[in-house]
Amino acid sequence: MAQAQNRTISGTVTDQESDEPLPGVNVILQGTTIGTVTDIDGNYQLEISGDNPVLLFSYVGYITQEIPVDARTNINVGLSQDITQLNEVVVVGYGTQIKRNLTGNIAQVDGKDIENIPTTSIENTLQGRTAGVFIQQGSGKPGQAIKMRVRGSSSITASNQPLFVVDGIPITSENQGITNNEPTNPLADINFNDVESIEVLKDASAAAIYGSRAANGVVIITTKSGRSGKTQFNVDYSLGYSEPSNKRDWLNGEQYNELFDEAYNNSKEDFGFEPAEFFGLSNLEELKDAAIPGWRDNNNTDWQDEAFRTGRINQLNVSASGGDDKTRFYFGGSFTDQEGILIGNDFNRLSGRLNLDHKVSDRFSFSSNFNLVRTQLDRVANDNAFATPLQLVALPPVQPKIDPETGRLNTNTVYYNGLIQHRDATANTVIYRTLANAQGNFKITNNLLFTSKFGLDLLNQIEDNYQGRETQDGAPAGQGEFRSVRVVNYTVDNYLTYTPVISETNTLEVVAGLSYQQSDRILGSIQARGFPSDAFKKIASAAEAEAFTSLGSRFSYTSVFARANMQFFDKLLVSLSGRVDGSSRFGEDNRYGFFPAVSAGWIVTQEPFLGGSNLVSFLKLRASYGLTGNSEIGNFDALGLYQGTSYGGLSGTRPISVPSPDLKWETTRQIDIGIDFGLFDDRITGEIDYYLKKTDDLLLDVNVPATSGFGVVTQNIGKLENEGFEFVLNTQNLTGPLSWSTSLNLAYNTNVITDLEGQIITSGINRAEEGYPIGVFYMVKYAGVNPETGDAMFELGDGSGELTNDYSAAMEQHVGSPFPDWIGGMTNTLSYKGFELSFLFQFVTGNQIFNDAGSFQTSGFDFFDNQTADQLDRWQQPGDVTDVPEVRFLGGNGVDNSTRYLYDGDYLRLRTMTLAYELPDRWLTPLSLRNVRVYLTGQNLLTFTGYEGWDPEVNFDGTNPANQTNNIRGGRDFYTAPQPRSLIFGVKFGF
Amino acid sequence: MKKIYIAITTLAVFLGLPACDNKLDVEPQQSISSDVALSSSENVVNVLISGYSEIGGQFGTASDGRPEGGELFGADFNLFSELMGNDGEITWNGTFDTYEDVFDKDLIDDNALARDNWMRAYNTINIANTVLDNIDIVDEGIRSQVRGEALWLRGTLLFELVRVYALPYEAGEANDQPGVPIVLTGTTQIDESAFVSRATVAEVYQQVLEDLTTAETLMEERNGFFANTYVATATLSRVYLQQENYAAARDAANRVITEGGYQLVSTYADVFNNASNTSEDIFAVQQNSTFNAGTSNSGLQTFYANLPGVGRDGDIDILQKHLDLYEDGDERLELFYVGEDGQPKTGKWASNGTNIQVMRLAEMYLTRAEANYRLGTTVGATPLEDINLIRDRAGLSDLGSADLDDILLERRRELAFEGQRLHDLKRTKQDVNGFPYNSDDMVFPIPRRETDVNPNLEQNPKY
Repeated sequence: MAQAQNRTISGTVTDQESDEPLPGVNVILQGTTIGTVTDIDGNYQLEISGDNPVLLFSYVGYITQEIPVDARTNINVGLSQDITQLNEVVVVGYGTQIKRNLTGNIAQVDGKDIENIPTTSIENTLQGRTAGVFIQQGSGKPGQAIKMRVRGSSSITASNQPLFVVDGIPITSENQGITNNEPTNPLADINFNDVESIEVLKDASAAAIYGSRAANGVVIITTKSGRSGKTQFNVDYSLGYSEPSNKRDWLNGEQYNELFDEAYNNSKEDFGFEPAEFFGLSNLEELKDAAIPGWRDNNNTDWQDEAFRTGRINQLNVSASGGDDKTRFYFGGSFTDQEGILIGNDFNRLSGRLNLDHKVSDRFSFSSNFNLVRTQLDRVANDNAFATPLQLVALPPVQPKIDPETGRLNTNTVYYNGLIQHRDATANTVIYRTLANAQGNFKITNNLLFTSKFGLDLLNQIEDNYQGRETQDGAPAGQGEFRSVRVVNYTVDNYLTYTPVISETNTLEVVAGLSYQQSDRILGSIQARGFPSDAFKKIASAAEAEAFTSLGSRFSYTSVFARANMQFFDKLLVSLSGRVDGSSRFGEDNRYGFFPAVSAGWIVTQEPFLGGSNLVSFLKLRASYGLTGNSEIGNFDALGLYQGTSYGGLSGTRPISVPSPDLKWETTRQIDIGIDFGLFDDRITGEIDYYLKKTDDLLLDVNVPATSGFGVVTQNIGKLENEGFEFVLNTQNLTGPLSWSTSLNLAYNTNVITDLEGQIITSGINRAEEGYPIGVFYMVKYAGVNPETGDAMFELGDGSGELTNDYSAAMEQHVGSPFPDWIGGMTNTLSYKGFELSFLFQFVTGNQIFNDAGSFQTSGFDFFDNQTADQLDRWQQPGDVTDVPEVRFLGGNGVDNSTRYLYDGDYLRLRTMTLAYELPDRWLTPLSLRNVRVYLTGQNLLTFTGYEGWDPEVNFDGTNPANQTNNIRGGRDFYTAPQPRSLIFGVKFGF
Repeated sequence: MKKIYIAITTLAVFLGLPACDNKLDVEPQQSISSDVALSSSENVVNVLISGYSEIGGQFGTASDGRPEGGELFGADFNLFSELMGNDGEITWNGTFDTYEDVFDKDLIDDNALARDNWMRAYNTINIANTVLDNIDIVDEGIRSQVRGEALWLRGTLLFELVRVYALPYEAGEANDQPGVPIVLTGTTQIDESAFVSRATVAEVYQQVLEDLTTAETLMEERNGFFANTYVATATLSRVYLQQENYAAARDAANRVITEGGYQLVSTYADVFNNASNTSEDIFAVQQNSTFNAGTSNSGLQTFYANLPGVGRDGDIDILQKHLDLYEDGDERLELFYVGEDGQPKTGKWASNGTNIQVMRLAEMYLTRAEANYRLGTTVGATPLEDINLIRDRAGLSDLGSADLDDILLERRRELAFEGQRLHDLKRTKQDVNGFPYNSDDMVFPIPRRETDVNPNLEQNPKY
């Protein structure tokens, strides 16, 4: 007979496995709204009444327990972790949620999956692991910018990169590098061994809480925090090497002479005179003596081998984690040293991190994360410079590397010998980065938590470059440049989290707060010439300043955000979220924007008709709709600006832009419909999503009548769409001693520009045009070789289907897209008795690559450049059937931009493979070691592609590209270095 | 207790809100916003000064979406006139097909020079209009002068534009052929009013005269190398001459000669390639090593000169037909030199970073002489006296008499390659290398960029 009077129950809730106390566990009297939450020591106290009381203990990530009280007054509970993926904790904006209850679309990557991958930047480790996220390294140079597109490109003029948030703070992720080289990547400063998890917020429901900067998705990076208990150390050391994942075949010295002579003679016949006359010379030998001295000496220089090398990789990671009930810490230190595969191209990073959590009282706790990083990048010239290593391949193999007369590097090469650059020029970029934040949590009541957070991202980058007097640009007396950039980016967040106890099946969580962000950037640089000797590399010794500047700029955001997550009857989920963003970047008439989103989910398996089914163990239907924005444009595009000028020694100011007071963010409306499912007791889980993203008010530079005094004005004009599907499937194929699990993701995206008011924006052969995907390739179609004449043939393109050898008569056509339609990846993990084998295959398909350098590399000796080996198959006499036109020196036979140099960019790549062995405990215990793991990790070990260039994962964006160029230009190869193929061996000790 | 916590925290959170709005008012640092740029007398004067750097055609200053180019008085107004006005006295050997098309009188509607000069000219007109719109901010003591300079900038540019982009002014006719758009207010926002139409040639000339005559009354006698009242008067003499209003042209030229205080430089060669204005310069573009219209791909010296370190590779050769115009012993003939490529070159534009003569006193004597002759008057001096003054400085003996041909020939010799040729040919209705003076081929296109973006702009007949 149960008692009905009021009484007080107390106890402690712990983790069953570790015996650690669990704070924040919901303790509810079943069937009522009476409940409480455990304190930081896991203790609770609850006054109850009623017949046969039953207490429910529930906690995110743990299995809920129902415990009849009976006559007890003290109930201690050990909760066990729910290891199914559906109960994983997912980090969302300003909070966390469990995966089961998500109504938005978030892709999650666990930090331990990306440990020790021999690459430089964190986005790179996500390739193939997140559905619908396209990631492309432009080249194999370390530390360079990486393209990341979440569910397609949503802008033409503003940035298409997602917002990166580290421990709740939006960080600086834009290129800060020198303008005469390719963009660099501030994300390379992040040591990804410190990372606990990465979440990519993809749909509007997940991202809208980041408002005007969420249209490209949001990447949330969360670093590790300490675990209380005995201090655990991990020391992890790996070393290895990298080499180019592919080399191309070029003509050797003998072939060069043969084909060059043939090309010369063909042209001589065509022209009716000696082509040497163009150079004021009279015949072939004179020309070769003048242009390519050394050709008589049987040289056979492999210039490609001179550009590449085998790079060493060294990585050391040390971490310590521990603490007591009140204070927990995580310390992470790391040193990464990676030599690139190109001569003179190195990357190293030294990173230290301390994350501290401290509980002052039951009500008040605070935490602080502090990360100091030094990154050094030794750079080579941009791909479009003779000085860059890979342009060495243009040099004739008949010319020697060392001039036999001087015994020094050959200066008589037909183009500048880039080895001189390697010897006499330095380009060092050193970045000091501080990512720090401090957070205070104050529990106003048991249900209301106030959080205040201050975050700082300080980036200090110094570039110190020198080109010696024998280099192309440093002649005649040396040239130096010193450039310094500092970006101070800080954020202040204050928000309340309200979690009233309603009942065990009906829950509510409300988050609401304010955020302010400000970013200040200053830059100073000086370029000077004329150094006493190459021993002097600092500008103090320069004779004459060539250029100097200092610049400053700022942007700010002030925002209000809120979210409410509701759960009804444990099966219906509703989430409302939104943000009001004000930005200094926008016109005064449109300074604030509202970005709301709504989503709902129905856990069908909670319904009686599916409950208890083993076949369908979990089924959730969800849908979301919302607005997000894109505000990544110039800081002052909305203002009418005046700029300094001078006349006759007097200064003046002149107008350079007209106010655009209506200027505002681009708005993306996204609908997402998805299914999450678990089959066979969750041995198979998966997600299927459909989305449609419509972006309007595109920020575009619009031509205006110049009679107004202005050429362009930035306005909100234009629309585009992305539509696609995503599939995720995780299976546990084998469980038991031999376990095998598979994780597969596939995504399909189509992008189309629906309205540009008739404008066509081009970046060479890529363009933005109504009715086509952004960056569509537009060029003349190549139609092979006329077997009678050896002429390159082109499609007329007028619908007649006829061919012509007159390039200028052929019309350009839309011929492909730089962005893939299908992307995906598959990870398999096998383990058996301490052995673990894991491998990730990743692919893209449906995109094209244009080799801009084709007109030099594969041109039938249009000039002196060495040619790809396929030129051996050239047309030679009537009747020859080949797709390589007759070689003609200065003859321009098929070298103009056409689909001759456009290739399918599909590839399948064994992106990462790790074989690891965990030493058995019986060996370790005598050594007082907790664990020892030895591993072998390979990156880019295999690539399957039809692309004939070095690497299908390629894009040369040019130097200092504007957002618009970056968005439209894609799939371009120009002497661009391939990805490295790396192999490292490592040992990890835990004690 | 709980309620107090809640109240305090809520207050703490939301107090920040109203204070944040002004945090969004971020001012740029390399540039200033229009509010600041027009906030004081000094700042408005700064805007006016930029008008001079624009008509001087400083190279490489565009960052506002228009191309870098269009050197106006710094180069192209001269080159347009001399290249298009060529009738076998020069050759163009340069590789720039934009100039070659001008030389061949075979322009296309998207010729970059036609576009760039149009854009920069209207950019400068907008500068002038902006100054005029904000003239009340300017200190009273200099207000008239500033207003006069802005009006001169606008008037002189409209005059150059209508001469280049429209069919010629026909004296005594209605002149209702399309001229160029007249824009009289500064642009603060792009709206419907930005989509202007072309005014007639008559309307443009009327506006030019109104601007310049007002400017003439407003400006001081001396103003350094900037515009003064005589600069406006000298410009007016050109406008009247173009309109064949000889009396007004004569009187304007006479005013400059008699009141302006200018003096002919004693040696002809010293008129050119100077770092500062001479006593003869009425208006010259001030150039130096950092401010110039270009030294490698643009600028007068780049195309005319062919000396070590100056000029490209001899883009403009002077042919014998021109050299034959001069008498033996003419110092103006001696200024020609043989360039590095072995061909004759003019010595007028032979040193980088030196001033570009736009209007100088000698032109006023020649204009007065011609106008007096045509009217049968002797205001200021007889035509013969004026011509002999010019001949005398060139080291030539006096003529005993001078008819119209003598006067025009003297003008041609004295002002050769100073940008007068095409306009002199048009106003005297002479054929140019077989093209009639009013040929559609000798009218620049309205830039295609403009007709594309503004449907209200009528294109010229040929394009």
